[in-house]
Amino acid sequence: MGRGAFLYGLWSLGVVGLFLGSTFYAYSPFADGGRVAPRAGFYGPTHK
Amino acid sequence: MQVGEEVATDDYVRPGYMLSREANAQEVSWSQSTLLEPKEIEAAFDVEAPRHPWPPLPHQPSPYPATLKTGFKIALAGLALLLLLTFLFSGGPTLFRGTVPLALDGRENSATLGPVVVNRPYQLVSIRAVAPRLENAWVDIDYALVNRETQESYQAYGLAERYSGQDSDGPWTEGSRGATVKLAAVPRGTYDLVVDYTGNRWGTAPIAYDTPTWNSGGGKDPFSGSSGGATEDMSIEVGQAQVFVSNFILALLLLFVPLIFIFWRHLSFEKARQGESDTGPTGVAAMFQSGDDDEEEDD
Repeated sequence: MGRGAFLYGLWSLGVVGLFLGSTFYAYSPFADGGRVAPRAGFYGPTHK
Repeated sequence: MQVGEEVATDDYVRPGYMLSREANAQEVSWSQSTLLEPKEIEAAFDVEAPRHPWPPLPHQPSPYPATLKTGFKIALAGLALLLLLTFLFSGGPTLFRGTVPLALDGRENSATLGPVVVNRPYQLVSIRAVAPRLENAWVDIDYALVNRETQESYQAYGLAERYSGQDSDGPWTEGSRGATVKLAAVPRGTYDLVVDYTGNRWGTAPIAYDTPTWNSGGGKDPFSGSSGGATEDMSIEVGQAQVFVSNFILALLLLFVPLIFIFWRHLSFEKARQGESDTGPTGVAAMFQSGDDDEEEDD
């Protein structure tokens, strides 16, 4: 295995590890929790 | 071979090798050359050999395919792991199901639902509200999941909105009568779900559900005779899962973006290596030949 493939393997391990960690802690940077401010501005359809 | 002698030459290459033809009126000679590693050249001739000549030599092998091949296998293994984890941790029984009365009168209402019991150490909690007969109206919903023991609060905002109408293109609809929010990393405990919600009508649209006969199949126009003020039930369902789809997509991107970058480097290498070819690009360089490349060849 070359150096590039080895580094990519480490990277992939880190990605899967982060995914596993986020799964265990049920964490996501895209979660809705914490967004307490109601939508400001226009209500109604945007249909044209 | 003499000084000043002229020959016509052709080089045929494959990565690592070159077959050269030299011809004049008297003879045709062929020679095969094998590309040496820079270290071999330095050891044999005591000169400094360039490590990464650019553009690459016509018969210089790209250094990327081996990395790509191994990397692809690693990426597939990573993808399989991600899918397995997603499968193992997705879904779960509903934690709570209830209803609250909804009126589209612009007034804020509040309801406390529960208990919502979270059993895992950390839990993704999804809350889905559905107003099945919402029409040309919206509902603002503020959730607060409050731990009964610690009073710690997890808050989120949801919006269900549904509109319909008719224009020159025909009837149209927009929005959804349901809204789902997801709360991350909710610790184990027993919670109350406090729901503050406000139902509003859009413009002067009548309330769709204020005629009792509308849902009875009697064929009565739901928009006729509206006076406002009546209510329907909005269902609230609290579910659980452990995996965010957004996390999965992000992990996929992180997994495959380096491979795409390495492939792009390989493609650039091959295009540069075959740049002087008389017969045009082959292999991956031909597959990803751009319009600009074609024009250059025509010139």
